[in-house]
Amino acid sequence: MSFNLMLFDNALVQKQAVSEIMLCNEIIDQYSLALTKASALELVETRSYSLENLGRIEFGGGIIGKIIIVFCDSPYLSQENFEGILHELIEIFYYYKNETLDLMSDDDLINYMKMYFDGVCHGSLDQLKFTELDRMARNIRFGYNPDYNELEEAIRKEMEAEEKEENNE
Amino acid sequence: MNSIDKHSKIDEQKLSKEFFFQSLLQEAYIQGELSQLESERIQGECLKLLSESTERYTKGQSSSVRVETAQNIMASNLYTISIYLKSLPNVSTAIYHIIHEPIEKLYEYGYKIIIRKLNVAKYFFHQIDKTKISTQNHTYNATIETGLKPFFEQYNVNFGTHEIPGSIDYQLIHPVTDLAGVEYIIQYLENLYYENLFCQKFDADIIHEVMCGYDENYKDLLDNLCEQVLQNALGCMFLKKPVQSLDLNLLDIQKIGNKLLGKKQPFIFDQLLEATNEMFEDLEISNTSVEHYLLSSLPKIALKICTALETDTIEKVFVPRFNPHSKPIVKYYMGVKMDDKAYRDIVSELLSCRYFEDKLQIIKEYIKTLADMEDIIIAGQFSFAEASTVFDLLDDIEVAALVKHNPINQEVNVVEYSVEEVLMQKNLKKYLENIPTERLANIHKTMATIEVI
Repeated sequence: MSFNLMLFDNALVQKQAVSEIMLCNEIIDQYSLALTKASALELVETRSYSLENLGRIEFGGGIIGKIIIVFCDSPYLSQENFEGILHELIEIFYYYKNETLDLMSDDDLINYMKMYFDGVCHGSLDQLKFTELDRMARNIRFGYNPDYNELEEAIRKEMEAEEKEENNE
Repeated sequence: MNSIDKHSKIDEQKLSKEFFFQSLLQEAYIQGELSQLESERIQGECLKLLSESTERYTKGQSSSVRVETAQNIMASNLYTISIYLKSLPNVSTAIYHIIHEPIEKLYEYGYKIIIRKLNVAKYFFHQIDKTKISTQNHTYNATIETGLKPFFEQYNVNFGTHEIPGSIDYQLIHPVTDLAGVEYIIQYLENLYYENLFCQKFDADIIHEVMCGYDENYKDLLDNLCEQVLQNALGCMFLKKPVQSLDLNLLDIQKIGNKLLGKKQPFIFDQLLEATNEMFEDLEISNTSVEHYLLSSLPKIALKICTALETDTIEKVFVPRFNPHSKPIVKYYMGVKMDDKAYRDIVSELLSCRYFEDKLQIIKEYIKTLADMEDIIIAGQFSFAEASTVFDLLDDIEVAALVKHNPINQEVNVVEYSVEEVLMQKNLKKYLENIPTERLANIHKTMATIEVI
């Protein structure tokens, strides 16, 4: 016998989340970005869908506001793709909360996402999701540094060995 | 009349002890003691409490958690509230508090009670450690020595109050059901403590022998020790034997069976009750909790006896003591040797025979004891085939006695025995190697239990 966790007053939670998103407009405005109330509502729906799909539950406004604030200064975002990317980022965020076994805090995960998105991924969501974050999550599960890159490490070692050989010759 | 004193329509028997709060809410709603509005308010407050607990759980680092984690925290919160509600005098008071107090407050009260209960559990655990009986039963030892400790190290008073960390495998006379968390542990430890106090009245070696009588491999079983000790003690009381000996032989058990045969369960229960009260006096048990604990197991024992009488298995309820180390020794007498002159005549006649059949005939006719048989086999210096035929004349116990009397040890043989004796030993060894495995096993088993004189 257990309480149904879905008894949460969804309307109230949604309202709170939408107002939090709308508050972000004041900050993202300087980057020529804006979100309408309708698009805010859609983002909240994506969040609910992702949470349900991934077997998670969230209390309060959630992380959409945080994602918007962190990503708004990205050179790969424009008003045209802003909304679409946000939907993807929300899904990716919750997916990797599970994949990192909740060992990474919300802020850290969002910051890593931003770092890779602006860095090696050059704005590619596919590379972010399927390569960089996948590697990072695997590193966390195995207890390594999140930034540890097996391939880079192998290349570095190979180069060092070659250098050593050259020196010996 | 104060609203607390109102008589509740809720049947307390219907309420779950494990999920008390939830079942109380459900029943109260069904009985109309909780309105729809109040019910919604309580659910909302519970979710608010969950939200706060989750934030504490993630230390504010994560706004979302897995559903299973949230369910676990919710179950823990509801358990904590249940603990407080159960501490109230009755259901009406509990409902009064649910309606008039914020859920968060109920949780706080419950939390304080859990901390107190943990101390009670620690006290019982300490007592169990002090009263632990010396036994070879692995489950009993492992549960007390290593199984219960994790509870006190890992019990989470914030997010896992309903859980029972640890490995509790030892079965009690009265298993703890319908309880969880610290309540389960307290009840389990309390029951185990009473069982220990009772078993302490008996010598550990005697308990060991009783349990060996129950099953020689009892140390690997998950069965309760106290129950068998109690049953044997009651058996002794029936027969007016000293209770602390717990000693019943098969005849005693048969007597108990005859005494109770054809009797109805209430009669058997009365007999058990009488015997138990006498036993308390004999063993000087004055602890009322122990008395109550043991008395409440009598209906179960009465039923067990009834079933055993019907199926003619009373020796499974009352068991004879058995010491696996003291195996019964059968003294085997090899018999009187014949007169020297008569023996010499027989040997001369045997050695003068041309055919083995004639030798065999002489052996069959004149050799009457195993002692003479041993001598004649040695003196006859038979080949293996001939010796085998002679050995075939012997029973298993005779072969066993012969082997035991002539241990085959090559190093000793050279010095201690004559050539003829060594030949006989070699033939005997070869004979044993060629007989069927089952017969060989039987001979070995017999060898272990006989003493040749």
